[in-house]
Amino acid sequence: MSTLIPMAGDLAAWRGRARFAQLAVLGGEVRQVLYREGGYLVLRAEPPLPRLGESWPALYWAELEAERWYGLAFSAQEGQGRDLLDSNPQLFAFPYGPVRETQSEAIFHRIVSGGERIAAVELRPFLKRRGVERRLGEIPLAWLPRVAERLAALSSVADSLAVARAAEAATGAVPPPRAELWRVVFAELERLYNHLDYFARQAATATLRVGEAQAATLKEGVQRLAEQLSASRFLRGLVAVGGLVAEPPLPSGSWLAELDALQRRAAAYLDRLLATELFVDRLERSGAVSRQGALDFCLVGPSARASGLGQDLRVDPGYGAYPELGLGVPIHEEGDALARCRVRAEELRISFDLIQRAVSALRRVGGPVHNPPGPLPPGSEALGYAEGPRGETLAYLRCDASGQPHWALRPASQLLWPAFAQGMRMSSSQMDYIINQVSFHPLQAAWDR
Amino acid sequence: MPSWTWQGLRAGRQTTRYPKRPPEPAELGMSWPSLGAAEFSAELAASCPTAAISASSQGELRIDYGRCIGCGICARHRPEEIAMLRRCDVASTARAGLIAPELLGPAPGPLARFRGSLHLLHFDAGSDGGEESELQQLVSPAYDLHRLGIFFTPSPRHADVLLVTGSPTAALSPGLLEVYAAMPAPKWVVAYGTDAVSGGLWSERGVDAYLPVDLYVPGSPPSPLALLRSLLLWLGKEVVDT
Repeated sequence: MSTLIPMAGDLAAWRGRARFAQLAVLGGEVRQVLYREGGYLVLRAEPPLPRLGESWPALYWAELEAERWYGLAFSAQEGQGRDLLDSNPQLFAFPYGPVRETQSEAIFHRIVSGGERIAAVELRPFLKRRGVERRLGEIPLAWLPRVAERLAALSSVADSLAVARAAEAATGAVPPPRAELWRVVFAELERLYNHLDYFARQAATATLRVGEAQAATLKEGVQRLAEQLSASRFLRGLVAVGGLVAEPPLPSGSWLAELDALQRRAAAYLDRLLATELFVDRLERSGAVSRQGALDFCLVGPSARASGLGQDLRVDPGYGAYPELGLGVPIHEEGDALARCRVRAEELRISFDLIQRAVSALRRVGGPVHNPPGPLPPGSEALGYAEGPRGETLAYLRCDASGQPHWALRPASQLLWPAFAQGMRMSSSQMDYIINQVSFHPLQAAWDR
Repeated sequence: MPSWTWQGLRAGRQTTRYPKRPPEPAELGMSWPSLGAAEFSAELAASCPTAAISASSQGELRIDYGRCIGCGICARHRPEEIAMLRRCDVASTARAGLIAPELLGPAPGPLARFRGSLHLLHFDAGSDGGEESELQQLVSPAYDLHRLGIFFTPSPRHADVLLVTGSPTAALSPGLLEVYAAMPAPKWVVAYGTDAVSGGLWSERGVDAYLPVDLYVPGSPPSPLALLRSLLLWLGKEVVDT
């Protein structure tokens, strides 16, 4: 399972030919990861690096993080909002968060505005930084998925899969086919309750209280199905390096009947939601990201597919049991909040189907669910990836000559938050702020790490 | 345009019957290691990612449920002796009451004598978002916290209880103290989730390193029902568990 193609050369020269994926600082060594149709490329970079974030927006925060947390040297750069304030005395800035409406994560933004219109949203991340990458480097191989799945609860499966797949690539422990089928069931269940969580919150931003309540009830139904398989409402404790921790109970007839009922209720719900003018009108043309904008910000997941980019790691390059199960990738061109909503609505249906097909394949495919990994070979390097509910999740592992592992995680949310801020810039009223924050559905805990 | 009101009414009752009837198995939410006849060994203690396993002064096995994240690694080390059991009754008003096997459930708090409603202010001090997701489910129709007279408020001035999630990070702990200071007395603090109770995987410091904690509800994350149940017991209300 080789996922990395080492390349020589300059990152700037790849602009337009490959998608930037990750800037990883691992025990003093720097790796720049790019994605080109079919696979990942990795460049070894020698510090000091030229700062590219001004011209290639996807790199802006990656460079800032590498500078702030890992001491890479870059030239100084001012925040965009402050530039606006200096040049326009009509504008003022006010804080949003970190204590905000209840039951939400702590986020902190500065909103620059001249009145009704938002001029810029300045992001202030890392309030919740817990040092997940450092912790991953301190622990034995068997604990890696247990720590990785606590990066962010709503992407537990995607994050633990990315880390497990990196360790599998480094140790050569290929998961058995049955484990890969189970992983599809878990990953798609996770996508279901994430997208339903999104619909609940998005309905709330359009003041559809019944719509919010019904999506939350559907989400509860999916989480209870997940709990029956895994004894965890967030599908924790399942993924192991080399497959699964243990064989879960095969879904019973009543489990499948409940899944079927949820699928029908969700389909009826989405028909109602997308036929509600109040809802559709609020989302249409709000927070639009053009196709070029999505390329510049290297958007991933449903947000990229709503801006006309047909990228989905499950299809290209394809991994695990996805190529044999097969799936379509819904694409919309408009790039606005409504397109992101429609992409998720179609993905919900695809995920239900994938679970049904993976479960019936589980009845045919026997065998073990775990291939025990050996120790990490000193000097090894590997990249693990998974298509989470928000898009591409990456985990870069470098084991140095002494056998000490170094980890760098790149959750989808790291690319979604800056794209959200850009979508708000100069184009939106303050009413659009919360609608679009929900529309990208990013997780602060994942970005902060 | 579809009639949402009609759809909502037609869906009928979606809400759990708890606390008047026992919880359904699907509502319990999280699994915890039960000790059974297991004995302490240094190897077993070393298998725990959060150092929740220790020995009492008599050398008996102890599991600190305030540190346990329910990962199940210890149960796989001793499959005959330690089982993972679904339960929603792990909570205590005292930190020492979370150390199995001598668990102490939440004792009725100072508000048990009163009949008024309770207003909670949620503060995320560094959680992984799981507790927040469960809080949202708690106010959704499945659990509907509001029917029990417990509400969330966005203002510290209106709050009786500060509900903290996550192990306080360096950036958020000053804000935690500020918010607590802005609440009018009398006021209480609930630590919701293993990270808030003890720091969990990330640190040795839970919320009680910063503020006096009145109710500990551990879990990674604790189920909505676990919080609902412990708040009701702390308020001196009756719950039907079996």
